[in-house]
Amino acid sequence: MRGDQSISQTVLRPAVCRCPTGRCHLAFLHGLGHAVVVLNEQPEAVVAILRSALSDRPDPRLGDVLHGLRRDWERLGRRRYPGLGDGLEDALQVALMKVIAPEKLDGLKDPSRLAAWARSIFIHAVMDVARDVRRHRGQRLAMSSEDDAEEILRDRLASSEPDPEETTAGRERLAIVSRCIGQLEVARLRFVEGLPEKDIAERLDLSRDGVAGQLKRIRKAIRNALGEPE
Amino acid sequence: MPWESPNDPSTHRVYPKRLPPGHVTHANAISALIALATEPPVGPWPDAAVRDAATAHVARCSDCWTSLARLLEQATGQRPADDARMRALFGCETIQDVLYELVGLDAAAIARTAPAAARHLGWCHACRSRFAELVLVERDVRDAAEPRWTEVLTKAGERAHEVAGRVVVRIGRAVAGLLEVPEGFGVFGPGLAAAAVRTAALEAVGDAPRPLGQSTRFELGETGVWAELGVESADDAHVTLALRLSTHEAGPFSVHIHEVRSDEEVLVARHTLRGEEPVVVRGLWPGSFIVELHEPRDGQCYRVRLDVGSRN
Repeated sequence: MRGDQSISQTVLRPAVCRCPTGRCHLAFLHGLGHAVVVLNEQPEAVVAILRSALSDRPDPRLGDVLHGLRRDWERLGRRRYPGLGDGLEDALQVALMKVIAPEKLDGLKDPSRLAAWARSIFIHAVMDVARDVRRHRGQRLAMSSEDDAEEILRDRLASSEPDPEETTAGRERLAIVSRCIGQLEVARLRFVEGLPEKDIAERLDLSRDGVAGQLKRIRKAIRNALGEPE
Repeated sequence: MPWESPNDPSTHRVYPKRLPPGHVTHANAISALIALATEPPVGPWPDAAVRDAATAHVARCSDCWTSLARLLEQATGQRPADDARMRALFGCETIQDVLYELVGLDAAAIARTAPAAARHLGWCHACRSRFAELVLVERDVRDAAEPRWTEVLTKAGERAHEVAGRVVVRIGRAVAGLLEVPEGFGVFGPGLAAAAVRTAALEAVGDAPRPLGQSTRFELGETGVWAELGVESADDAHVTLALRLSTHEAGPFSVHIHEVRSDEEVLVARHTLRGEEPVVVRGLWPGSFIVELHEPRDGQCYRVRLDVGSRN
């Protein structure tokens, strides 16, 4: 798609937004009430500008639109996720890449929901980063508020029983996770604690053959990772 | 590991209070996984019950599965062979892409318009957390107000941007708190994320108003630089202020604190604020003050009025 052909010629000029006046048509980009762009155009045009990002000739207004999104997200992130630190920049970069991805844009069914859609992409990016920060640092990331999230979900989600397919999938997931956690535990007891296979089997209530099999797989993986012949 | 304790809302936004004892949070699950994988161990060695609880949680949480898969990759050099299969079994990506459409809907509407997502949200911890966060963010965006900065001429004849409203601090015996903040300032308690503040309404608790929080965060005009002002009790009659910038590349700012006395503003403290290093001002007494942040490079000055009052 050639973005420059699909967008009507409109004026985009850097400005300080005066949203409460209702003059600005980029209210959907503002988030917290500010933007650096004013666009006299409909949301469909902004979607087209975003779509042009990966075309041969990106729309010249693309930078302004992305700048507006980034600024609003950064403002939201600094206010709401103070514990994220440098991770906020990572989340911003990831989210900006996603809002121009055709597969993501295809999922935006109603262009008038562009702001909420784009914000949700940013929030998912934040939560991905938060997950990794928590794992690396082994600590909690303050992302709480006084709102009771469970109450929010209770109002919005009816209790529903899983269907047979979901039940089967759940059992399979549980089996895979058990196996992986077992692997992690066996690896730790053997290579960190230095326990013999017999003691590992006793501690984890596994057969010696089971422990030996897991260690064999772990050693094989390590050899592969180190590039050694098997 | 305190599995029996209520879930920690700081990490597991979904189940803060009313879930049965023994429910596992994301943080609990990750802690158990890290304890299994690190040397020296982080936290106590997980026993069988903890391991089982973490296993059950991870089997219903794609975020914690991702963490487990990466731990295994670090331990063995390879992603788990089942990683792709697990992602297919979770099926979170397509659900997460449409969560924003569900934010404004009630339970019946969600079940009717997005039955697959409704069923998925019934069991998937990761998507429940993300959905709750989206709801809170949209509420935050809807409710957020902006601070109003106006240009004023200071007593010293300088032009400055002064925010409408004031920060009001109460000095208490055990803890100081913010009773009022200007419109659009975010308020934090200890370990809390921001709550959007449109107006700083007070709630009465007994005879004394309940503090809104212990720190407030605000943007300096439209600079993109955010400042955080925190308060602590020094003693019954004094308060300690901590001021810092939230961006390490910002600054330096010169911080001036003036006491407002009848017709004059008297400089009582002066510091330099660099990056995220806080400036701490101890022993501030009851009175009216102005906190000024001067940006020497472009000559801009931002002023926030601050009233410190004792409990009585």
